[in-house]
Amino acid sequence: MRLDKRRLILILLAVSIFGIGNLLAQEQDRVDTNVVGDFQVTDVPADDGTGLILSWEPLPREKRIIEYRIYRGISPDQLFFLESIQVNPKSGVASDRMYYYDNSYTEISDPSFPAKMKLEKDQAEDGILYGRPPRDFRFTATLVDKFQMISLSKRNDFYFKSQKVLREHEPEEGPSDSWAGLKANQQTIVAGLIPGMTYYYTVLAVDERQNYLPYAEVSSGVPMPNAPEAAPALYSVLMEDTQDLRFEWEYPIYKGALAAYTILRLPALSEAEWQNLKQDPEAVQVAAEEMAHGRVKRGILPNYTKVEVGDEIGTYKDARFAIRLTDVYGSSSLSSLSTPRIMNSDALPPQIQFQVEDKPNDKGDRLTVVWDHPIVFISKTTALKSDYTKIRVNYQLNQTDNQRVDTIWFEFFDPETDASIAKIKEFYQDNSVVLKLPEDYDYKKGLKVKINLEGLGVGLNPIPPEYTIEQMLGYDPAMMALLPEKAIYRNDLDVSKIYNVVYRKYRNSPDWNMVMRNTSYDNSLDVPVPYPSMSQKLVYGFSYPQGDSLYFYFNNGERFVRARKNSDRSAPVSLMSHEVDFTWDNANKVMITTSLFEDEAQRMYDEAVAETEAAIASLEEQKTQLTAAEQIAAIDAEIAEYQAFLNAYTQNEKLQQMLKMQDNRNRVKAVIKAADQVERAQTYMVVKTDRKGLFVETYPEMTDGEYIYHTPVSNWFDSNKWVTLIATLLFVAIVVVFVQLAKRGKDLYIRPIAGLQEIDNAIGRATEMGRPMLYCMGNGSISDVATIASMGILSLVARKAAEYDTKLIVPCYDYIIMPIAQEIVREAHYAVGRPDTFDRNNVFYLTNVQFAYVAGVNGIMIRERMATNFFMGYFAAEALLMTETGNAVGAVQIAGTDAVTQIPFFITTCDYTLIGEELYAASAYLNREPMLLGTLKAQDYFKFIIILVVVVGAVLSSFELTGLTLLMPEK
Amino acid sequence: MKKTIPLLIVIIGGLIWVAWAFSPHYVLQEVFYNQFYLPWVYAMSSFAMLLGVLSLTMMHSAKIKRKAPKWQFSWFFFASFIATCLAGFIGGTQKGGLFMWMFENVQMPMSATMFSLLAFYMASAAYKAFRARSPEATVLLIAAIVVMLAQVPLGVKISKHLPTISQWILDVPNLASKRGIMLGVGLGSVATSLKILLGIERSYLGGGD
Repeated sequence: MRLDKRRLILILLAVSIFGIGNLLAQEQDRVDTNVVGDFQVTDVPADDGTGLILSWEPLPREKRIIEYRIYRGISPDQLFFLESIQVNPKSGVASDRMYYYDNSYTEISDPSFPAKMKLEKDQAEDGILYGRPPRDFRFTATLVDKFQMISLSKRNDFYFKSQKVLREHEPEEGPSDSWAGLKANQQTIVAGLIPGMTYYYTVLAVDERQNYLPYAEVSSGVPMPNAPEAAPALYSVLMEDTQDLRFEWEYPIYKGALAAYTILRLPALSEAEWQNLKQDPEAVQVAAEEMAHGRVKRGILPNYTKVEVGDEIGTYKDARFAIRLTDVYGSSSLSSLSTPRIMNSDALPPQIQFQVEDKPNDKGDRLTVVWDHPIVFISKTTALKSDYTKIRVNYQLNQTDNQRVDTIWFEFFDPETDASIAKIKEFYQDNSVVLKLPEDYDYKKGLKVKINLEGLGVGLNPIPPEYTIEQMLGYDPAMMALLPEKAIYRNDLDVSKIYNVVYRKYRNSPDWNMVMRNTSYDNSLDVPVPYPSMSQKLVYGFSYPQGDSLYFYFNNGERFVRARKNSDRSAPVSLMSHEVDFTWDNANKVMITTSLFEDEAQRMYDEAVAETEAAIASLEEQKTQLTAAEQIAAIDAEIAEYQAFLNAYTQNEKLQQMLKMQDNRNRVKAVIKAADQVERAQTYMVVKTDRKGLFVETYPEMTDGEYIYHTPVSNWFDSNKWVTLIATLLFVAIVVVFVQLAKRGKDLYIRPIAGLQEIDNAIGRATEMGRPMLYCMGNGSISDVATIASMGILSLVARKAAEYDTKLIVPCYDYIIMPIAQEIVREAHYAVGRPDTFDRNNVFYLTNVQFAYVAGVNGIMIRERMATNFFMGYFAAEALLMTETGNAVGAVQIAGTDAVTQIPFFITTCDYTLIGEELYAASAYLNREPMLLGTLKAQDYFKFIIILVVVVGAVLSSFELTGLTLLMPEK
Repeated sequence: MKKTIPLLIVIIGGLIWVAWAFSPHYVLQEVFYNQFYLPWVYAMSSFAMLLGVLSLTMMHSAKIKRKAPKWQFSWFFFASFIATCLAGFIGGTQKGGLFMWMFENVQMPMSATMFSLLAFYMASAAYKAFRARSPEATVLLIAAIVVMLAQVPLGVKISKHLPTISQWILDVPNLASKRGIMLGVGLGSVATSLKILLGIERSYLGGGD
């Protein structure tokens, strides 16, 4: 077939169509296969209406995805980056679907966010995906009614940098709403979803090459408040002897909106009947009798209650109980039925005496709640001999910082015969003992271990001799070891299923909030009481100036504009309440609040007093018209409440002093101090419970009818460091003595150090050869002692080099050390009268990247053909690379370091090496200055003292005298 | 005066740090360290960085000016310095940008190359160290052979006691000498700190006196 022009065109056309078609298909394929599959947005079930669940099918592992990026917006055409989920590109995602819960507060404005709106990478001009929302309150203001916003700022910024923003500016316009305003760069604003609002989402994958793959189709969701989940469990116990009913329950996973509980008494229904009855609320109302109710506060209040039933106790034996949980929206749910266990009070966990201790040696941010003596339990065992005649038993000792255990006695018994096999005295607690079993003992029977302690326990009282902990060690064939069983007996009572729940209460709240539920393996809990450093405030809106106007956007959707005045600030601000907690008036039990701003504080005070006086007057008037004693008593109670409030405001000395302060900064400081005192004072309660209705509460101690509140104390001295301090002072004393001796001319012998003696020869060699020297100070920073010691040697080397007019090159690893090194070399040149030979460019900063530094130094060595190399300071892996190169160019090398791992490399590759402390001694050795020699000598003598202490400590420990060992600080 | 004021600063600063080491109080740990010292360090280190950059620039420009040996390489410094700066300032330092690309594809491989050379240098150093020229070197050689053999399966094949012996060498003679050095280092550093604190050691101030 002849290939004429027409046919050629046809062929080319066909090829073109095929090629373009292929390309289009590939592109379509790329779009289809690189988009995550089945992207869905659904409401979080049983929550408070502030959460949505995003889910999608992840891309296959071959796509080498490194992250999935999630975008959110309030309209489908503008979505901002919300969060990314990192993925291992090698393993991919194992599950079929990926989930992201958007149910917590996420940042919507932060000082690190871009100032302007920025399209996301790989987005077209008309793209819908953007990076982080801009840090511009003009933009954030448009979202204020679409999200619940909270401002997080440094507390000092909020208290001292907030500016007052007034809705109506002119005083003649009447009283005006006012807020505390903070600028965008002074705070982070976090946003949470609002129930009933529509939110739009999409997700895209990013591959290993940083390609942003096409995003999934935008999908929307509306978070809705749902009825709460039913309590997973309700336990009821009928105590026959004390004639009360005890209830304990568990909360569902989503408990953020739970507000109240109600315990219902029901007739003896079957579970099936109850499930039917539950469907009809009215029928439940008729059938059920309310036994108890109370607040829940998102599940942090106590999850138990006790009801006294008196002589009617018999009628409750056949009753059934259920708990109704109600959320803040009024929706509720009912649990399954609970049949009461009938018991007596001897089944209750033992009552405890707990103590609250200040944690010693801290900055004042921890308290310790202690409810038991120190606890020791076996954690594991390891056979040291294959016939199990020698076993290492590891144990754990839990004690507070104040408690002290001197001796632990472990006694091992045959569990079948109860015969004692071995008794071990552990006089030094290193968390393991070695047990020797008789050769004929069948280890598969297991072991019973009884543990006794000697020392100081709760309240620093001696641990009673009867305090015993028992455990069983059973043989586990799979692990081929004797392992502790779950039960742990404390004074013959199995406490493995008893929990110690710690609750906390602040002065200004009647609530006991749960801190932590602890197992009986712990005898105490460290409760953090941090110093407040952040301020968290609800954002009511935003305000920003534009032209001659000042715009206000509020979270209720209201927008407002007024003329801008000269005194208005020019930066956009978020609007928060300027009201802050001030102090707790203990006499009247009132929390007094005030304002950040002086005039507002006075206004708040005046208004509080005036309104309370008016309320009292009105109630007094109502009282005159009442005749019924009951009503009068009720109104008297109300008046007393108002009167207490009034007294708190008018008679509180702190408040009066604060209001009189002239300087607002000092006034705010006083407010912060008083508020801190309230916030950091706490009292605790410990509840011992089996989590199934058997609980015993232990309330804190009281004085004058009030709980004792504890505030952690900031300690000035760390008592663990007494020995360190004494040792340091002793060392100082020895130094002073030897310095004085040296000053008086006593000849102090210092052993010769070859590396230092050879420095002169090494410099001389470089001079003779007419080649330069290199001085390397390692990769330590200015805070390393080795670097400082190196500077001393540099000074001496530089002086000799200047004297002999030999070029000295000092490449620096640290840019802070560089100017100091330059100064040292310059001074050396001046000192020997050769300032003209000083070249600043010979002492320079190279890099602070480890191997780049090696490359630089090696390059210099080879180019300049060094005659002498000094390596003095702290070195890591680069040491060998540099010294081997130096060796190759034939340089004389003297090294010194305190890095133990590098010393062998220096020894093998350098001509002379200063080992460890010899580096520090170099300056004294070379200078021969009496003062420095004195310290060197003192060092030697102190070393002798240390060796003496080590030997004495070892000998004493061998005789079970561990006092000296325990005196030594552990770190 | 030129030395007295810096010396005073060092002594006062040193005493504050001594107090910081012994006292856990809020004023020292939080107010001084977290609220005062750390922000100052961050602020100062960026200025010191500027000094470093200036030093490098001066050194390389002097080299080019003087046509010092291999002066052409100094142009590479300027070229790479400018390229890295531009990439960082314009494109940002986040993943996916040119800056990070250069870091991952230029600097990292080069660093890895330098690091991998260590293996060869180590072999050469080991050869030097293990030559049995003296009784001490022979002990070192034997100890090294035992420890190295115990690290590989072949060692266990030769003798099941080899790992135990190796562990003993590491735990007893090796650790003892290591601790001896560390004890000296610890004391030496305390002594040096003390010398600085008491104004006995002044070499770091430049010059000798």
